[in-house]
Amino acid sequence: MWDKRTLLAAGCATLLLLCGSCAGVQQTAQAPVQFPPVYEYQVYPFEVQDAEGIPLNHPFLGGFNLPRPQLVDIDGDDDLDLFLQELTGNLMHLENVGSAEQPAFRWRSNKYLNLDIGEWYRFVDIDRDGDMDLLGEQPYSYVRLFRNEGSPTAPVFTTVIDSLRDAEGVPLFADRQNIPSLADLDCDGLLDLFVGRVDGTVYRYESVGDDSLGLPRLQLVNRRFEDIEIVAQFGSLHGANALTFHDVDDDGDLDLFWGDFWEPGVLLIRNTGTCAMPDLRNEPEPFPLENPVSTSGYNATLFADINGDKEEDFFVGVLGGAFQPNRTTVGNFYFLESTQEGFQLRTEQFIGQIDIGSDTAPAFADLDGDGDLDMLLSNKIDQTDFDTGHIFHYENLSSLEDVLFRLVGRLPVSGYNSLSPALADLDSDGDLDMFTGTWNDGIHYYRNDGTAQAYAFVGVEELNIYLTRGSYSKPALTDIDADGDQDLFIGESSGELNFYRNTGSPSEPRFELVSDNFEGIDAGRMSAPSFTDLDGDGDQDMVLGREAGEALLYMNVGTPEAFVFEAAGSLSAELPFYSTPAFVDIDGDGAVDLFSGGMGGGLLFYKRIP
Amino acid sequence: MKHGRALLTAALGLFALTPQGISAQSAPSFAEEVLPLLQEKFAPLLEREEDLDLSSWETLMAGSRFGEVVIPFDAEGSLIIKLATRLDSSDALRPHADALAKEDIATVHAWIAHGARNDAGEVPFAGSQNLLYATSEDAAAVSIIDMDAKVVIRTIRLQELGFTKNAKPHHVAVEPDRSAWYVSLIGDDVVLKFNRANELIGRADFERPGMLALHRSQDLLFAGRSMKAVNPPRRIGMIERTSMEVEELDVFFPRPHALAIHPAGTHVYVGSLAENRLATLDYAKEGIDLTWIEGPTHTLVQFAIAPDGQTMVVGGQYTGKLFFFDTSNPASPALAQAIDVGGAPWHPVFSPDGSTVWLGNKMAGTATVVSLEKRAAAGVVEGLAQPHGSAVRPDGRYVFLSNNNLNGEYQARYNFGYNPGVVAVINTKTYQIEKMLEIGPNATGLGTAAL
Repeated sequence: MWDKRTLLAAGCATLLLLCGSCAGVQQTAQAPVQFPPVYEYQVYPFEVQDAEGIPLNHPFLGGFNLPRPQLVDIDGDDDLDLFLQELTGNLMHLENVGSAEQPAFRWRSNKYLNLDIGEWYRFVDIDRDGDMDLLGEQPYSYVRLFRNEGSPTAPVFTTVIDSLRDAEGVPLFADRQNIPSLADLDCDGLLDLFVGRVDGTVYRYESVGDDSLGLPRLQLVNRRFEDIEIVAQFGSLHGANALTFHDVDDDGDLDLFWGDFWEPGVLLIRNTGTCAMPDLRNEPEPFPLENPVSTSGYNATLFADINGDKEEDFFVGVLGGAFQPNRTTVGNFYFLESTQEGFQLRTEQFIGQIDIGSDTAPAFADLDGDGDLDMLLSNKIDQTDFDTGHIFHYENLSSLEDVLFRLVGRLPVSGYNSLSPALADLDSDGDLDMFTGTWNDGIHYYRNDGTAQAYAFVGVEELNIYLTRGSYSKPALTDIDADGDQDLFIGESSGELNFYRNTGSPSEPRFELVSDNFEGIDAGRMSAPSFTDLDGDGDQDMVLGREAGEALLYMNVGTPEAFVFEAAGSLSAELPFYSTPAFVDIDGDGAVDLFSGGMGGGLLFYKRIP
Repeated sequence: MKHGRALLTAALGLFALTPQGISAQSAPSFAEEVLPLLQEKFAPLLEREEDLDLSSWETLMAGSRFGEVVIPFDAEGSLIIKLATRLDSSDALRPHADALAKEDIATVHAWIAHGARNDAGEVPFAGSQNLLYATSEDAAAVSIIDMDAKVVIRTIRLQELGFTKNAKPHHVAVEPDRSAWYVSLIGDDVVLKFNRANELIGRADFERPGMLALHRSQDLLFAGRSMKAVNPPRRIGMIERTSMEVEELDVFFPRPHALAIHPAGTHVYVGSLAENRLATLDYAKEGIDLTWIEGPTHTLVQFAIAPDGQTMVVGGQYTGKLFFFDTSNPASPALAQAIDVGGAPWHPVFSPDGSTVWLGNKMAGTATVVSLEKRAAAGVVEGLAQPHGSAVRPDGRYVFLSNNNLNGEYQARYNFGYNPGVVAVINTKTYQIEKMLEIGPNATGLGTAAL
């Protein structure tokens, strides 16, 4: 039986590398695992802590860049479950397994019930049967309805019509970048639909009864609802917006909250009328009044009582507008608790996870010479200095029983965007040297002039590598010809692959370009190579991450000394867009697990099933 | 040259769906049937059309002081038919419309629908050289304007070609030899190619296309992105015009919108709506460099480059700035100066001699004329309604500015139940608006073979 300690303990004997994207520790071969490999996506495989040592609640969720959240009790257990859209078409579901007073969310799905919601979604009981129906975008820019034909505790969604229609039977059109809202604004017991327009005005549709399917017949009653013209007021057009209604002042009528591409905050348009006679012809006010939020813009808001104190708390999903969205690639899910002193910001990351921005790439290496693999995770761009990315260092603090990583800092490498590290002892001095890809400045070589226990990376310009074309270089080191030194493969924006053979020696590397179109391989865009022995035949197989997510698989049917790669389809793991696979047996069960960075700025973990 | 090959295109056969395909055989005779009707029965309905001369086919097609009254092949879009059939009941002319016999309207309608030909079978403006293409997003249509006659001479209705009513045509690019033109449909995710006869001959599927820029010596068309998505791709499209195959080029930043090609043909410039950066793409070498613009959020809308390639301008929608870049080295545009023009500067255009820049100030309802030499405003044109696109006639005598007019700031001459989009025709010597050509609602991009 495989013993976890062989991975986690220092100084283990080595027979064969089981790690394609790591350096400094060699892992012993174990009993063959099933092939083709089977992976299981896991959000909570082991603990990861932030720089303060606080565990991240959802470490491997993948990161958020433009979350569109909604809290709704979808399973009738009297607490609020969390739904969140990060990608077009996909609705993430996190079940509240805690209580109404003390929520505890647990990831359940990245594509809730396999429903395709297009560019936006709204849960609402549109047919007033006591359970939540779901509205989304019918591509492009129409309104799709998934009716809940299950129950308040067990939803079953069915598509009853291709697009919701107005009272004349014409499909409702809503520009897909504008997230509409439904509310019974005039307290007549019927839902009204509000659709923001690109020019800052609002279309109001009013329900005029149900059709034969029990669906509301929505009549366009106003093309300039309450004469609202948000965008023009701020002197601009080209709009994108998100609307929400909520009675924020407890006066019995609904107020309007407006997030806009051109607005860094959230605007409150107060309803000074009554429930039956709403009046929203009022000046927009930045919200919360006492402490307005200010983000990169295009804010999607929601109100919900998350802690059972009977007060509606305030949440903001930052989609990123005209105010430098790179600022909010990490902090983009605001939670402001309703208190006696008003709304108080509690966190900008309501869902704690590994999230360092966007376009991440992992690598594993023993950076401190303690015999275990530390984790490096690089990003595209810093949130304040937009001319650089970073490489974050998560130290492996695992015990014999548990795997544990903690963020301990950043590698002293900067000045370039879209860093992508690959490490190996390239000069045989017993410590790990590093290549890192960059956005558009080649692949930089950093020699470790420190020790195996304390790195000191020094740039060695003459060993930098510049591609014949392309950007977003992604290097991978592997001894592909079993001659004892590390060879270099580099993916890049074109989706093709560059191969540099190390014609030097284990102590003095010299990389010579063999091909800038290796084997004619084309991954589409953003190729990111990784190597591991997937089938246990003793040679290195190749997996190519790419922009489309799904990684391509090339099996080495040659020998360790003479590779022959054959295309073998794709890896059976749902990797994120801009996938950057890295292989390591992190839990010591003898099966090499899979990590991947991606567009969201986090990290995903896929356990290989032995 | 190697590129990522995400080829998204489906080549098309010829789609001969334009109304020009209608046979002239069944058309009413102009001289014998239509002209007498116009002179005797329709004339009262046209009494507000100053300078309209109904004495001949040629004078009729020249239109009035305000623009055309007949658009060949587009009966429903022709003013004369709209007056006869869709005039608001409160209009004093309405009784004249009500007095018209249905068969008389049908006769004129049929004549126009068959091309408004003369009795020799000639189609009006068949030989027009200086054509301007104006998109109407809310009508899913493209109006073609004769820049010399200053009238609308054709309408391409995209729904008739199978596209949706929300296709939202946004921008047009035209081949230098006028043999074809291209339009981006931001609602239908496609870039279309039409030939000179306005037949649809190709398409390139491309998510959320926006601005277009046509390479004048290579077989390439570049496409930016529009706002019509929560998170559009951070790439532009490079379309091979012959095949309409698309290759996508990364630009690093979000919301790539502003787009231009340096006259040298070596570099493409792309600006972001979300951050103060522009990208310089050496597309042949797949190289890219970024240039920051300091200050608050500006939001770069669209570029224009002087004919000599030395200077590029771009407006900041949010701050009202107009930025001047030194592009004498196409690979390294250098910010040289910024001036305030205010009012959300939209699409700029250079005069043919490069001495002035014209741009609409969308939120101010004006246009600013900027002297390149003085780097200062040389004049302001009032009376516009959310000006958007811009184009200049090759001789430089007239500038054309499209106007969204979503706010109804321009009051339509007749009430047909909507705010029309408008193309303003501005005399570049007097800075006077000579015509406001009404087209479909929400007029946006303009395209011409000139400059």
